[in-house]
Amino acid sequence: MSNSATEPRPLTEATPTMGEVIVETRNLSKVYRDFWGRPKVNALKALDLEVRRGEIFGLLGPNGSGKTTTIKLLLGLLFPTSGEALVFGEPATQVNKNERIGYLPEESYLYKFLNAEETLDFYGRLFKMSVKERRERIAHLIDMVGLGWAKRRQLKEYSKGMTRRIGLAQALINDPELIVLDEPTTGLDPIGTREMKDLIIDLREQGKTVLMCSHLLADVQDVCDRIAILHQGDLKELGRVDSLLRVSGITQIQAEGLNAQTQDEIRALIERSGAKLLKIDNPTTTLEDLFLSIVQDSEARPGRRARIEK
Amino acid sequence: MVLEKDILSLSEWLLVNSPVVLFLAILLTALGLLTGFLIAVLRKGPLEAFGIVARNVFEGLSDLTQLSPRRLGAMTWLAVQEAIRRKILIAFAVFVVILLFAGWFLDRSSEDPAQLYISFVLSTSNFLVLVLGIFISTFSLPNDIKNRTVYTIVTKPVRIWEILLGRMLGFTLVGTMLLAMMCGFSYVFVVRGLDHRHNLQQFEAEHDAEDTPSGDLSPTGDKQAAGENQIVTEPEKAKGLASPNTNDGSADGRRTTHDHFHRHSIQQNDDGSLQTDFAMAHQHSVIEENDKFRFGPPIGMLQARVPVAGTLRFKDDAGNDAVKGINVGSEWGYRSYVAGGTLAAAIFTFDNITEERFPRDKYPHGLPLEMTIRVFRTYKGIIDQRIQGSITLKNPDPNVPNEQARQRSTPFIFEPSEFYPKQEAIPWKLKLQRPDGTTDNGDLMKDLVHDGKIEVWIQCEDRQQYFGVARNDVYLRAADRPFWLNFIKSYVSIWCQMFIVICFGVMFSTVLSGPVAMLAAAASLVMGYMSTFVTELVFQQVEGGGPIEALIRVLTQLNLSIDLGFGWLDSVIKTIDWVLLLGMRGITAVLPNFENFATTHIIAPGFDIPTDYVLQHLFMAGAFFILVSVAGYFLFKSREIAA
Ligand SMILES: Nc1ncnc2c1ncn2[C@@H]1O[C@H](COP(=O)(O)OP(=O)(O)OP(=O)(O)O)[C@@H](O)[C@H]1O
Ligand SMILES: [Mg+2]
Repeated sequence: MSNSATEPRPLTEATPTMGEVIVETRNLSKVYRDFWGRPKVNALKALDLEVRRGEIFGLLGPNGSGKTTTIKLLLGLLFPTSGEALVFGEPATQVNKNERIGYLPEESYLYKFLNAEETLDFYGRLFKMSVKERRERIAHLIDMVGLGWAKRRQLKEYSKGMTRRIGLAQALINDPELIVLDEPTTGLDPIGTREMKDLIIDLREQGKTVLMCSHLLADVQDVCDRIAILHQGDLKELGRVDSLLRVSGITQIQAEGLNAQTQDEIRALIERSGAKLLKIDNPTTTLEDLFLSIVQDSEARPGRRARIEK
Repeated sequence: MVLEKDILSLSEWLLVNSPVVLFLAILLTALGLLTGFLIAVLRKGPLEAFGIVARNVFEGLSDLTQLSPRRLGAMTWLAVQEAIRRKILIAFAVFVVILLFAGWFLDRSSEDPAQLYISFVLSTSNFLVLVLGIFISTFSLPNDIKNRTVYTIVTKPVRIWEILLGRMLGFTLVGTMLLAMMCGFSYVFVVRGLDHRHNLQQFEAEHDAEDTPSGDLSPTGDKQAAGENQIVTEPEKAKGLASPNTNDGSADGRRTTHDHFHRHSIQQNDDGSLQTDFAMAHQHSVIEENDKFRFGPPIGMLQARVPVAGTLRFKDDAGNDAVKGINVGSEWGYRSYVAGGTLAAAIFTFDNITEERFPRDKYPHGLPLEMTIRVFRTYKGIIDQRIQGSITLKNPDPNVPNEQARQRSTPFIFEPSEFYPKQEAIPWKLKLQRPDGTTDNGDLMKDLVHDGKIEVWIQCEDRQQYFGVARNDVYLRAADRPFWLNFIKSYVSIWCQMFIVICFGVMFSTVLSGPVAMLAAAASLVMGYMSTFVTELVFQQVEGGGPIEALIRVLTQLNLSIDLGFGWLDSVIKTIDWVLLLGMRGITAVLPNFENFATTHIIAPGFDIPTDYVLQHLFMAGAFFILVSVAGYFLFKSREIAA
């Protein structure tokens, strides 16, 4: 992972909202049933989402809100109770789409009896690539996740963070167009977390689409272009991170090289228009505030659906 | 040769079985589609159900076309790694230990220790490898699902076929490795275990009290009247007909030491070379070097004779045609008996007797007739005298109206060997019996073979004693194959069973959890071995009744032939049982009948396992592989992996 981008990226960076639709859910619902087919958990209710090429899309929500369920539906690991999950325009149960997908599960579910190299070699062989290409990718990925020193050790000896890293390498083995990350930063140390976030942004720069879910708001705020907030299976909020966090009614003026005189003029202008100048500073509203307010709001008024921002 | 069922040639077998298989395939497909349809109706309603089934079938087929050797290879590799790293080789260690221990306990004093050794190693290998197959195949997929490692697999472009077939192939590969090791080890165990040498018995010790039960193999007895034909039994074979009978302690009347529960006497061949007689189904070569005798390894213990069976018919006491001989009351109706001292005879007709097939230079002693004959005694007789029988060869020429007028040989007198085959070679040059009672010199091929056919009449010479024969008991020993090859064939049949068990295990593991899948696979195995029994139960050929009745009888210890005694409940129980039994019969129809894979009864008594027989096993394995993987595919496909 490169250490180049150490400071948070401005969220306002241009992102395509009009690109090709990579992931789409239509009225997607999932009811978990027990052995006898009786409904047990209504995990996802009529979800409508679109993820477009080149964006980093975040699924946000408290524990048990249906994030992982959504991802599993999109990967064909679960069958929808109703509605549709489309990836690259095809139903999620189609195997062909997997050529272009990389998936990092919630926990890294890998074969403990293989070592890092064997693991990547095995997963690599499931994709169309030449032996040479595979070798190069394996070497590159092991280096990228920083496991060169442990590549010959069986995974059962790995620590949680190391497993996570090899899991990530495994997800990228086929140089996928769409990367699905389920809580990518859990188990990583602060440096690892930083590297992971840099990597995600790198991936976008390479033109890849990233769909990730997390409840670590800082992560999401740092990297995501758009987010959807889920709560108890309902979509509560959907939109661009920057506009969601914009505090309406407050205008922020940012300028460079503004001298004291001009500043005074601006103050005067604001006063003359009857407005009140608060401060000339960055607004401090965070995703955390937004998130908490949505969850509180949702609990107070269950059933309210998201106002979808287009 | 105890072969109750004839082994069909591959083409015959295919002809008989393919309609059944085809019918079953169609039936199962229909059943599968119906089940799928019903499930779809339950899940999505009747409107969509048809489309769902159609789509699944289509996807199944198109997935099959997308099967990639590369991915299949990767999945197979994974299965092999998994099996190996789960320390599967321990099973081999267990096998070796069992063999080493068993070596001490096998009864080497038995009449034919080779039988014992061979059947022991084969059944041990068979059992171990099947148990192992069940274990490795049933836990793998459920473990993957439980540990969710399967998530990282199914989100790759892997087809379900590849997941299933990869496992089946991978585990089979590991099993094959293991079986090959077992085969090699068993072979060495058998050969080494049976190998022994003798030394020359010093003269003063010759009349030891602990003498062998030598009577067994003493060749032709005193009944040989002049003018009667002499057959060449194996011990004498090398001596040929010309040399006088010298086996009872004359010039070469030396014997070997008593080792390994037997001893031999030494005989001289025509050319002056020495060899021992047959004891415990083998003999030794003997080399005399400056008054010292050196004995070679046992010869004839591990054989693979190729028998050519004939057809069998009978004559009754009065000399009339009979379909069967007498049933002497043995429960096992396999053999028919002919009464001694009467006109009763067992008549074998052999086909295809030509000079090309039995060239004289290859068969110098004559037509290689071999037989085991059971003897049923109605009185003890003279204890140290064996029952005698006669062999008469007749020309089966149908154009001779009167049976008496047919060309025939004079009778050969022989003593039957009851438990292992004994060769009674019929010399090419023999004496013919004229209808007028005179005898004449003749030639077997010229005078007795008509249209490639010859008749062999076997009669018992002793009054009130009976000979038991079955079709496969008397045969022409057409050739000998190497024993090691036979041994490998046996292991190929075991391999087929292992392959089927692994396939079943993997199939069950697509929908069941590990332990349950294991139980299911084990149950199928047991049911497979009891197929014949279940069928017999259904058709009431065996006593005992169905599961409920049997349970009641077990609990109350009620005799099988007594009514249950619950009045009208009896018939209710019997009806339920009947339905259950039919169900079981249905299941066993789909399960492999593992009894059909048995080879021990052929190889242990020293017969060549027909290659066609092994090919049949391979075909069966292939058929089950297809059936089971299709079932596994749709079961796995219908499964929501993350649920
Ligand atoms: N296999 C399952 N069977 C039954 N219920 C399930 C299953 N998996 C998830 N659920 C339920 O579905 C709901 C959503 O679960 P999901 O795993 O999608 O949550 P999540 O948003 O990923 O939570 P977390 O942040 O803890 O990972 C929860 O109520 C959970 O209990
Ligand atoms: Mg989750």
